[in-house]
Amino acid sequence: MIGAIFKGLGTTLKYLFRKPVTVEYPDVKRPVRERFRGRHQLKRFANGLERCIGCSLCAAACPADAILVVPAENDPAAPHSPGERYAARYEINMLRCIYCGYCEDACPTNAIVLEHQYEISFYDRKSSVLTKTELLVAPDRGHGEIPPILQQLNRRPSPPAQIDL
Amino acid sequence: MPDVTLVINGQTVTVPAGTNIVDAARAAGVAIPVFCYHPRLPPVGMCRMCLVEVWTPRVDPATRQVVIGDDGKPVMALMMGKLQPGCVTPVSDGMEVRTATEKVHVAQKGQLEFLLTSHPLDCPVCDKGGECPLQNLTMQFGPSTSRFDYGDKIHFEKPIPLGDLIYLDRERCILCSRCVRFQDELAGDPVLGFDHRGRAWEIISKSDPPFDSKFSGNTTDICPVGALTSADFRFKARVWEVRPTASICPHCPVGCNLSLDMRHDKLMRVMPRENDYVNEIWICDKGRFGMRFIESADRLRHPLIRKGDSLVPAPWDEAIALVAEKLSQIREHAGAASLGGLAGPELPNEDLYLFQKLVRQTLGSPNLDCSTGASGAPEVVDLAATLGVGRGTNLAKSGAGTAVLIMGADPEEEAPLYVLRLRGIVARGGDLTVINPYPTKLERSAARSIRPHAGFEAFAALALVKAVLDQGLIATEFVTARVQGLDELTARLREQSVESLCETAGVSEASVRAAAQAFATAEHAIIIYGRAALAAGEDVLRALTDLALLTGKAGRPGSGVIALLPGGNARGALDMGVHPGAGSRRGMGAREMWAAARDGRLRGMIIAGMDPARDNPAIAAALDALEFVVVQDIFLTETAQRADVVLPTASIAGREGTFTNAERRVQRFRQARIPEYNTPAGWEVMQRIARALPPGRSESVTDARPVAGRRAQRASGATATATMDAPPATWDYAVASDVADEIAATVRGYAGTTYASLGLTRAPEWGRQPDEAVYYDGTSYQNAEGIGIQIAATADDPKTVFALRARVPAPFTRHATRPYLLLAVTRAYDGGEWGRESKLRSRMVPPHVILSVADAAAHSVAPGAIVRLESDAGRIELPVQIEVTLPQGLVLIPDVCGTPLSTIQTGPQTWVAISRVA
Amino acid sequence: MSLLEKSGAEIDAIIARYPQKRSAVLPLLYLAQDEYGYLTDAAMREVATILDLPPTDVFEVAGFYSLLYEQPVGRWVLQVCDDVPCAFCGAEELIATIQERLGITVDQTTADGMFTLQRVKCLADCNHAPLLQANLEYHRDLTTPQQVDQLLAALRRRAESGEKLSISGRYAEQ
Repeated sequence: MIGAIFKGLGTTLKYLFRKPVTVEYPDVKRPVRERFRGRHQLKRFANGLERCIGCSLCAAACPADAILVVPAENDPAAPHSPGERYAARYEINMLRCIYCGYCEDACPTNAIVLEHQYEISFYDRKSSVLTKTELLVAPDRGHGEIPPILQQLNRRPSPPAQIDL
Repeated sequence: MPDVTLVINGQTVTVPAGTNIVDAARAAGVAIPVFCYHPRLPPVGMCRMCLVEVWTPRVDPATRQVVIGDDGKPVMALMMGKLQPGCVTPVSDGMEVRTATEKVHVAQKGQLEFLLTSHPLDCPVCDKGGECPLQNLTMQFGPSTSRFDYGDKIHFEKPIPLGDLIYLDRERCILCSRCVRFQDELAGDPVLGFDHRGRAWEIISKSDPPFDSKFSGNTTDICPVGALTSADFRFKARVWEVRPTASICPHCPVGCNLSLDMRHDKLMRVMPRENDYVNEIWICDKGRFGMRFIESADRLRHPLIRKGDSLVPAPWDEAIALVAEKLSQIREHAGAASLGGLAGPELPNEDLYLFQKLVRQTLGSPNLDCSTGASGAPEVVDLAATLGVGRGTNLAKSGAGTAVLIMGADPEEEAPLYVLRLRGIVARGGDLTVINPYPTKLERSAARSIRPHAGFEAFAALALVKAVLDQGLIATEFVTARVQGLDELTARLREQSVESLCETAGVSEASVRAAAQAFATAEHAIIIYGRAALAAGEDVLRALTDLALLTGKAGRPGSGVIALLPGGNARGALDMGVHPGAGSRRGMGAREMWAAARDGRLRGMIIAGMDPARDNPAIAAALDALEFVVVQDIFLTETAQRADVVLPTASIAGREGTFTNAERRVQRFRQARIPEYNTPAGWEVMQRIARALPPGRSESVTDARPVAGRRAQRASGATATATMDAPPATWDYAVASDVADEIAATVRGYAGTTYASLGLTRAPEWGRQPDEAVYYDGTSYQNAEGIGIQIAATADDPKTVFALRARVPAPFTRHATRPYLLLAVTRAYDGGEWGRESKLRSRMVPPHVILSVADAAAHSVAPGAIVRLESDAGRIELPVQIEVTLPQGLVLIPDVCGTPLSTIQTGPQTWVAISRVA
Repeated sequence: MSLLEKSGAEIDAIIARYPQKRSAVLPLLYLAQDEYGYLTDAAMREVATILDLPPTDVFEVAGFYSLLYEQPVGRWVLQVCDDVPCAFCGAEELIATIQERLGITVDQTTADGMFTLQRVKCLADCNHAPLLQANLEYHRDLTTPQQVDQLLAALRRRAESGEKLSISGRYAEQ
């Protein structure tokens, strides 16, 4: 009986001198795992073109029906994205989103990526719908070359049909 | 044809002889993949996707007997020792087909691997993605990898416009030739072809303008890949995102079944909906690309009330109250007969019915019409209600044994889809005769084309009747039982001979006799008449009536008359009683109303969905002379601009209703979206006006009768009444189906056409397999929203008796000083309000006059030159086009927007003089 | 001047040879390309009008055959067979020689508009390989550069002498 009490107190004593595990959020932010699924970003290619080609496959894959894509035709003189089609509107309703990442899986160009940002709060429902401007990364933050299959000319996709992005 | 029994994958099936293996397998529920084969096109065997193992009983070449094996069964041999294409191999007795063997799978895989060697695989941006047979079959039968070097793909410049409606992406094309064959064989517009050869093979169109066909949109539906896509739907949405809504095309009397594919309450595209009784799986480009007007920014949004010289927006209550006040004022002061109503033949039955109820019953005026009353507008003579094609007619099944007579009509312009239907009848062995004063495209498909002198059409029609009498082609049984006046007719025509009548009409006697022979001896015969026949006058229609009666071609399925009247729902307008003769008291027709308006006998008018003042200063002046005009429309038309009150309504996308087509099929369309700008349906507007009217002298407008009473009367199926005066006087319709119920209860022939029964598809009687459209076309034409109900014509009742009324036309005299006969002709692309926001704007026909080569030479005018036409009524100046095959002495003016036809026309056929302007 | 106005009688004679008008499409296209130097868009439409054919059908035919030229060609069209037997006997060398002598590559025309060089498949005279046809005239066993020089000189001479030439080979020896 006495032994058990001392054992308990011993544990207390031990933790008294340990570094606390509490993180002083929001002053301190805990790092997330590599594959953490947070707020979405629409990526760009290295040359600044949008990766999103407006195919709506993310919207089709979305189990929560959180994504809206309205496509339009690119102006060849000033294209938004490689190829003929781009997303004129791209919206995600973050209140509906369940962060399953299916959109990411469905995307043929790796345009939509669930990034590590997890502080998502709104003052009203309307602002919970993120628009394309909010989702799109800055033009100088693009990465990767345009895969040949998306290029109008001079494209040589390598076999097999899998595109390595 | 005898039936053939064969075994497909172990299943025994029996199909008609001549069926190909693919179709036979479909009947057994076995799917053989195809690309080039389409059940509505003749097979060519180009894509090799349908390769299957075909085993037939071995035949001993010496004895020509089937070899019987040791087990007592025939010894089977693989046909030709290799796989056979299922689409071009007809079935035979004892055949055994195996579609799922290893050998077949290897072939299918290899075939898809080949097809994909040149395919760009850009499915994510392709408009066909999601309803693409190449996608579907690759997923089901194809290899997961390719052994070909992807760098060897043939690349072409991305889509090139094949005309301004259709884009061609040559990379995606698998060269199945479905589009080429559709244009050549079904549409009869051979404007597509293959250029080059080998890997450089590509589709071209070199007509002027490119892809000059009224059916071009259908090629995008049957294209098994994304090679042909519509400019109208380019990158609008993915096909799985749209919400298809059943609709009916309002543009012409065919009444094609449409699907309005909506997304977020916006029209994405228009697709055909399968209905073998009406449009099979096709629609014309006017239906496909001509529906954008519903979302036009020019649509009327609010009621407008005239304040001085301008129309200013006003609330609904105020506008309705004003209408009611003014109409009842006029009725009190000048009597109900000083009011008149015009309703357009494009309005749904519900609107037309309540319109006539409002005018005839509630306001008490018999002055109603559904034509504009322009000086050149022909009198609408309606044979289809009495002698219309019998109930149960299906032109898609008519073929050998059916003779079709086109009299004074240009189906390509007046009802485009009939071109496909009639060419189908010809392809199945039917006989087609075209009688028209000017050349039409359908002539090319006809067995004989008869070209009477313009103005002498009645003599040609009478020559047919006389030939039937002469050649003893009378259907004695039918004539004895149901026709009166044969002796009188024979007497009237005693002085005439086929020869002299033909000579007067300027046609060959032999072809008239052949046409009469073909018409009378065919098992079934159909007469189609249109604008030129109406313009030629009543004698033509009397002769046509007698032709149908004498040969017994009425009152049974597959035979009778089809009238191509102007407007998509002219049949419904006539049935609903929107014409002066429908009531117990004959009223004024449109033309009489305009005369009455000018001399003050007519004081007020309600005009719904019609623009009589367009290009017609005389009618505009008559409108201005009226005390009060209320116009209900969706656009601020010229007529609306002259109104005192303008009431906006919903388009067909924003409400539901029914149309009746030329074959008297009542068809229901659904509401596709919330009404644009919250505009009410036309029938609701009528009801609001009726309710706001103070009770008149002779009728009770208030709901004196309890609702239950009216409902009870409906339920008991009140007997159809001959006139339109009898419907209940109450105005308590909550939804459109309430109006439809009353129509079903009161309008003759419409019994049973309730929304519930119109919405039934039943088992598709045309033998379509479930999901067949998806299987062959990728896209879905599925029709789960009803195929409509064909109502009976008078002749369908075997007790009705008809009188023969043909008479010898009065001798037609030429004008002394004006040597040219002017005819106004219909153009499908007429530049009307329906074309707003449409891709067809560039195809709209500009105002012009068409001259024959000889006449153009006589006045030394070249195409594009301006000529002045002068008649007794006035003169107009128009640019010239020259038509090589047009007979000399005939002048055609397309009746399109911007042509001041009324200025020159003295009637449907007008004598004019031509002079060259500078 | 239209084709019909210029060679109306000849066209009538050609059409009269066939039971159906449309069968005359190939001879008329030959006539048209001799007249205009190659098959212009307008020329093909003209043929379509003469034969009452849809224009697309005429373009299909013209696109299919290698003897119908939809691009401008020289007065002599040199078509060298590069099929297997010819290739064994030196067709590639022949092509290289011609290219070098004329300063053009395959499918090009010399600046003076005299020669166009094309590769074609089998000319059905393999025992005389390598060979070429100039406006459908066969020139066989062209094994040495000297023979090529002689041939080109002879052809040039004939053209300059005012001889009537036909890129359709209508005057070629059978």
